[in-house]
Amino acid sequence: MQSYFEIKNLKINYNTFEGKKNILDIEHLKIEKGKTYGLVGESGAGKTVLALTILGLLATPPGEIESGQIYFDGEELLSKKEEEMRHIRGKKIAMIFQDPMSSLNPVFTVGYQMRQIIMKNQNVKEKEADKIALKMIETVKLPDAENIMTKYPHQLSGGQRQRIIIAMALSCGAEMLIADEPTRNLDVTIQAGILKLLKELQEKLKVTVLFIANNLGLVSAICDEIGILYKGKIIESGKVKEILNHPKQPYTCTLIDAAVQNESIQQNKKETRGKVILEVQDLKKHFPVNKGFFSKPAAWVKAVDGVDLKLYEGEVLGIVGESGCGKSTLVSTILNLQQPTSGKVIFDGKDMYALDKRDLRRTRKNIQIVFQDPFWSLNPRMLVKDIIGEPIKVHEKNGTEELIERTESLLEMVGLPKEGVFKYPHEFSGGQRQRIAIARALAVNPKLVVLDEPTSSIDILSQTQILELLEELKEKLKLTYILISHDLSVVNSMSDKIAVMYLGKVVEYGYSKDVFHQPRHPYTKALFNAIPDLHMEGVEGLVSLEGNVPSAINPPSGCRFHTRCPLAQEICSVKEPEMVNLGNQHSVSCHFSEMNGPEAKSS
Amino acid sequence: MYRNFLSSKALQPRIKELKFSFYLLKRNQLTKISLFIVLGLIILAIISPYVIPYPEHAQMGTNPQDKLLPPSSQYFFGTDELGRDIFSRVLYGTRISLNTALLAVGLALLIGIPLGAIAGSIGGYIDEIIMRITDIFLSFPPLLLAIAISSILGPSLQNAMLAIAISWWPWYTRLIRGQAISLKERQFVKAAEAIGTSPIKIIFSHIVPNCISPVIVQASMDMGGVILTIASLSFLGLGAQPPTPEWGLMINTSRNYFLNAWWYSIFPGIAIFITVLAFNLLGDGLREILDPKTRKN
Amino acid sequence: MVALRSYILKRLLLGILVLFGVITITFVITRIIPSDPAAKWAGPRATPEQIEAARIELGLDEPLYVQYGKYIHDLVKGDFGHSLRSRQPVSAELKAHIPATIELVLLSTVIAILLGIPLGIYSAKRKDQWLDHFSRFFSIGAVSLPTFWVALFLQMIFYNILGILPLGGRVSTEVALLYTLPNITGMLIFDSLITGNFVVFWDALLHIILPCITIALYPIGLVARMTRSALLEILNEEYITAARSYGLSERIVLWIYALKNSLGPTATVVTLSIGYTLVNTFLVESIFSWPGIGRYIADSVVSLDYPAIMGVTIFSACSYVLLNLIADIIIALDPRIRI
Repeated sequence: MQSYFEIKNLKINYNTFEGKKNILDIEHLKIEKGKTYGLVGESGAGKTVLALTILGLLATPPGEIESGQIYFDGEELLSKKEEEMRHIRGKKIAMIFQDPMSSLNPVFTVGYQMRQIIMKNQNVKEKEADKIALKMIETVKLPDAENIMTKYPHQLSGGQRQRIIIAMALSCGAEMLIADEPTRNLDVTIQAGILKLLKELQEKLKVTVLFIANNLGLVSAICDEIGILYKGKIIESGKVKEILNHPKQPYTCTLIDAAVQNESIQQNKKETRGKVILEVQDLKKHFPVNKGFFSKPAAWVKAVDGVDLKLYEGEVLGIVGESGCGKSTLVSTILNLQQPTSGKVIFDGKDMYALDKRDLRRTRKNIQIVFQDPFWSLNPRMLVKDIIGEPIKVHEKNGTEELIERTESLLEMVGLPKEGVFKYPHEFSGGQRQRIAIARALAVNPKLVVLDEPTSSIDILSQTQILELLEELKEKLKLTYILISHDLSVVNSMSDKIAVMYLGKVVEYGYSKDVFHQPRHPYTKALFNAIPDLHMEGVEGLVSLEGNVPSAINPPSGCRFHTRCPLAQEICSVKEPEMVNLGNQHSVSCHFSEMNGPEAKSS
Repeated sequence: MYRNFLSSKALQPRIKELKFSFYLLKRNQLTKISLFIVLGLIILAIISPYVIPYPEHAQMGTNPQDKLLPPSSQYFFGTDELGRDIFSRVLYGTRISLNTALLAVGLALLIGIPLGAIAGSIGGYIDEIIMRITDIFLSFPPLLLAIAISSILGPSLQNAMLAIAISWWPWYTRLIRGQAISLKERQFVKAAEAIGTSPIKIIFSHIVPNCISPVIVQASMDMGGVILTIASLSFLGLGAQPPTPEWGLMINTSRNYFLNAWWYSIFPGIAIFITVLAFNLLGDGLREILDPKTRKN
Repeated sequence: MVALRSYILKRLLLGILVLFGVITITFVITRIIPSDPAAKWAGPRATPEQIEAARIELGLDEPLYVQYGKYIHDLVKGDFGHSLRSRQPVSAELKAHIPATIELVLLSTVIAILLGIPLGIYSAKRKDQWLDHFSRFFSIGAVSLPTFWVALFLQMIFYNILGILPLGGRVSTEVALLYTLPNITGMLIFDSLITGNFVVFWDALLHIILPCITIALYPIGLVARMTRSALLEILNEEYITAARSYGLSERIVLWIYALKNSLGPTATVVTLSIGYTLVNTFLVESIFSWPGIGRYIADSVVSLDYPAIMGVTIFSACSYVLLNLIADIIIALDPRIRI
């Protein structure tokens, strides 16, 4: 008895210059009608290749289907001709793409594109198609559908675009959906909304879903069954609960560990107070927009708009917030890469922007950064010895032999063999490169290290190791960290204190355990509850925020969060809330921080 | 002992890259053939003074009693109005064309690369000024500026070379500026900035080495166009002057005789065509081979 | 819309700046000439006094900035100075030569676009099939041919050997003697067509075939190559895969989804091909005895007639800048830029 959807012995190779490379080898995968199957794996595991193969869109060459069958509703897909596949695509199986920006045609309006799809798949005339399109846009819960139809893709926000992509896939009237990491490029609070929508639509329309993701948490919340894809093979599959509770493969355990969140708040963080190492006072950084050659800037992007922070020696400060909240700008201002518009950055008692060149150089040496993406942060044309040696050369005078010895010992310190000094960065894996980046940051014995999303671009196995290394180095070298991450579990496991940013301002600040356990700002709450955790049943518990992140050019009046806040009252749009200290250095800027206290958390 | 490491390990990735390029080259027959032709032309350019049958015909020598003879076993491509062996002159022309083109492109690179790197990495008003100047240069139709400049400098091969360099550098400036701008946003440049490396050092040790290869590729692809431009200028009387055996000039002189002496115009033209075609084919192939998109697959 | 208008305004300002730069460059290069224009003007056997008089007559004795001011002032009035050869105003000579060149350029560009774009599209559509190989080889071959040589070659075949097409000129002498040539736009083919003079039209058509083919060859190759690569790039975009995944037919994907995205590249291609046809006229007009600015500049170059050379340079650069401006405005209609 065949299942509704079934893959048997599928082998796909890629022809590269080093010969054939097997990239997908799936022995067996089946999905029953109306169910949701989650396929979890990291980038490079072959997920997208599988999706394209099912639809017959895999580019051959370089791809090559060696063997296998894909059965769908009693038919075998791989043996079908292109012409026949065109009737399957869209009408029977539709795909939701990962990146909504690049999968919408930029030169046509949303309405035009939907109309084309509907006309083709449902055999209707233009007027009828428009009606269906409107209905579909309403189905994906976008307000003001008629207006949206006339918009070009770039005029919509990321969340809106992803909803349009879903509407397009649905408007084909497909019985099966392939969702290829549909929330990957979205902010967490928007992601929650898309997940909820997908789940709801799946139940309502009884479609079968193949849900592809890189995160176990996402999948476990909405899927019935899951499969773990590792290097092209499904290494484990079964019911969600079974896999979560009794993982058989070590790789699955790693994935589970990576997804575990709030339950593991570390209680052992000390509350010692050393001396203040970094103080940021009312820092502002505004960028001019649309500046012509002669004209005055038309507007200002208020990327950072009045931030106060205090960092004590030996502490780890985590900064969280969605993209566009200003965390990167804040960091580059602290690093002296950008002149602030106003405000002060005081490092070790010295005002950074009032120092002369020589003192600045000396101070700068004490602040170093580890960037997010180790593939882009190391100069591909330089040997490792020159990469790590660069800061040493800039700040100290050294002989060549001595320099090489220094770099060797730095490499060993970050757990890499010292022979690596004469290699190029691309000879190392992502995790190893990040170690090189760490070694470079530590080369001149800084006091403060900024970690900008240090683990988000490397594979899950290395993530944990990098975090452990950072922890270990911190103790050994008495470092202070600023940790920026959108991954709350990372922030959570490392930071002593957390600052939550929204649209250029810090809205909540305090010890990690206070902020995590008793978030007082509605935005913090939303942020923490937007990511499905492993043991969540369904997606109902997810908090999703309405609307889009407003533009930093014209931030909302009063409290900047009021346009999306579930608690918003009249006062919020008029008066900007002060930062209120709630004791134990926990402060929050919300008019309703009192009634929004710990006891109100359940509401 | 460090030297040893350097020689063996450090070269490995480069060797792998090269191997990959050869693999791609092997798949592309046309590119392979054009590579051989180009290599042949370069060798010919070097050895031509020593192998041509009538070396003196490529210089000042004349041979009036044999004027305008059709191709024969004595004169493979026939003779011109002064009785000179066209075969010798065409072969020698390779040397002139390649040499001039190489100098012109090299000079254009010498101006274009630093300006582009500075414009792209520093930005602001300096960028604005440099780019507006390149805009002005680029807003002349191709060849026109070279005609204007070389007519002003006075007709000679050297001046034609200068004129080409002056009208060509903005392309490289623009190209390298684009590269520099994207590199400037790369994290390794940011990392160097955060370390405190000086801006000039960043330009020359981080930005230029990483954006120079596409420019070199572009320059080698431009060789065909530059050779054609030299021939065109010479044809107009602005480049090489008699008795230089330059192809364009030869065709220009042949105009007066072409109705009765077809060989006079045909052979220099074929020489231009083959040379330019080989360079263009090679350039086209190189573009594909070195294109990151091709490499990724 | 406001943004679009301000973009066009900005582009316009830039265009003016560029024109200004073009004029400045031509001024600078005429004033740094190694040979003395005054001596040239006074003639080969002039006495030093005569040369001095010529210097004053040409205004070369005044300070540079005064000369520059005068130069711009004259240009704005349409005065390009006097040709050193004929002593006639360059502007009048340009006016007499321009229509013939425009006729040639327009016709060649139309041919280049009509042949080049479809060639590029089919080549991209059938990538790596024989049509693609042929079209790629043809287009690279076309841009590798020396135009002036092609002109001689075609004359040799069609005039000398086959004897079916005329050697050069715009009309045969007999036709010119027997009929009054219409002169409305100065473009003979066009004029004879609207006045209904078909004998002249046919004769003019025969005369324009060879120059036209010669000039169009390079742009055909260029247009085909650029169209192919632009289209291939677009076909690799994710939204094309997405469109296919919704089951849209190849016809819609290629001719609607992909082509509309290539509007920008196409506008660029057209501008470029006009630029190249214009320059090719410089090389072949004198071969075909075509009385256009190409022949005018080629003759001026030989006698180093700087005012004439600069006149053609400024005219060509200005029209090229204008074309680029139009292309940029077309590209600006692309909604991606309309922010």
